[in-house]
Amino acid sequence: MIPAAMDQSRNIRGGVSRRILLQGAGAAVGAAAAASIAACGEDGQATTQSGGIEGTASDVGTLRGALAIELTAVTAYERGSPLLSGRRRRACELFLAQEQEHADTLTKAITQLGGAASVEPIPLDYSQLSGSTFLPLAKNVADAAIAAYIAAIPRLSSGDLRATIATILADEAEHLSVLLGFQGRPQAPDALVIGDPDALR
Amino acid sequence: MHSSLGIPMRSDERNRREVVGSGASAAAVALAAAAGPAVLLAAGALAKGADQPAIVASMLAAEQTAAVAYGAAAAAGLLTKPLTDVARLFHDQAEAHAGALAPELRALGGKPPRRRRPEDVKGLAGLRSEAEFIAFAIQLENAAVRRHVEALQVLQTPKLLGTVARIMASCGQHLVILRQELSADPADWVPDAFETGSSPAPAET
Repeated sequence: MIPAAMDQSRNIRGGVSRRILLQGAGAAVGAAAAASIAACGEDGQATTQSGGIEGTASDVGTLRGALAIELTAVTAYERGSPLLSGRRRRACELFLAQEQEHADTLTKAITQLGGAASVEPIPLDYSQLSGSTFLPLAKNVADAAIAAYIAAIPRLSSGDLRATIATILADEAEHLSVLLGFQGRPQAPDALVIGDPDALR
Repeated sequence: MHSSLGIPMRSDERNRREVVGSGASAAAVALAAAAGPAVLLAAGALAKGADQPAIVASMLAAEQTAAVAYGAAAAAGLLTKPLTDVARLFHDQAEAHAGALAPELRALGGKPPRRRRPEDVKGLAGLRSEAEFIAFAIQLENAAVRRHVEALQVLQTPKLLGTVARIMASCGQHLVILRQELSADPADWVPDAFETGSSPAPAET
């Protein structure tokens, strides 16, 4: 369980959605990041090049939004995986490790672009979490991540960033496919995968 | 070994990176490291000065090829009922991918390629077992993923980028279903945190 006070402190505006990516994680943007973004310009035109990657202030905001979602997934799998057994547990433990890899990569990209990677996960209600309720929650996290990444890709300024995010997007779609299978549902229900921007609302 | 963004790279990818040079992107290096069916465009070809219509035409041709391959496999009587259903689903979804790309190509002033026939799909006629079909299909989907990653690096139109991203996610889901046909180990179902289309088919268990 997350203490109520901690939940309130995790005041990330807008939930997991296209909006969170477009707004750069909203209130989670710290002062240092805000200063960095302001220095780069608000129009997303100025280019930051550091550590071998290129991007704009707008990209930093988008990546911070993505990082918030990945950290949410990490938290969810940390809490939910121990409630499962057998292949379900092994799969979710694997997904936890992969979500952490995504988060580490996004953190590195944000830092290389001069942004601050101090992002909090989106607060979710884990009070009723059980083996039977976790898989639907994990599916919702994956759906929300997919929707967010699909919204983010056209907005990223550099091809390298788009490609990197796309490899994460496809991984999230794969997680979703496995999770749907665990629930006895079609594993590739849509030819054009869209996710669900409201999955965690 | 990791890319500039921390994406783990296999040793063969590292070697290719050294060949390509330190300025190459992680995705491009990963793409160059992978091999696919001969019928599909060689990895890296898109980045060699291809314009947007050529890139979209290439992706459209690949989706048409996949649709023909899956359709032919489903109709051949080679597969069990569950796998036949999978092939039919993938056929329909590849058709849908092609259907989404065709208007994008026309909007860019390009002309959709001619429809493929089963005899155009190299390797299809030689498939003799379900395992061979699955391995073939995994190569097909891996190649599609690589193509999409590469296209996303080059394309600029926001709507088109979104369409390609959605199709790439679909290819990832196809890969999961195919891998699950071969292995009961979850580690084989989603073998990498970053789907670059470079994971080989899992060993059958």
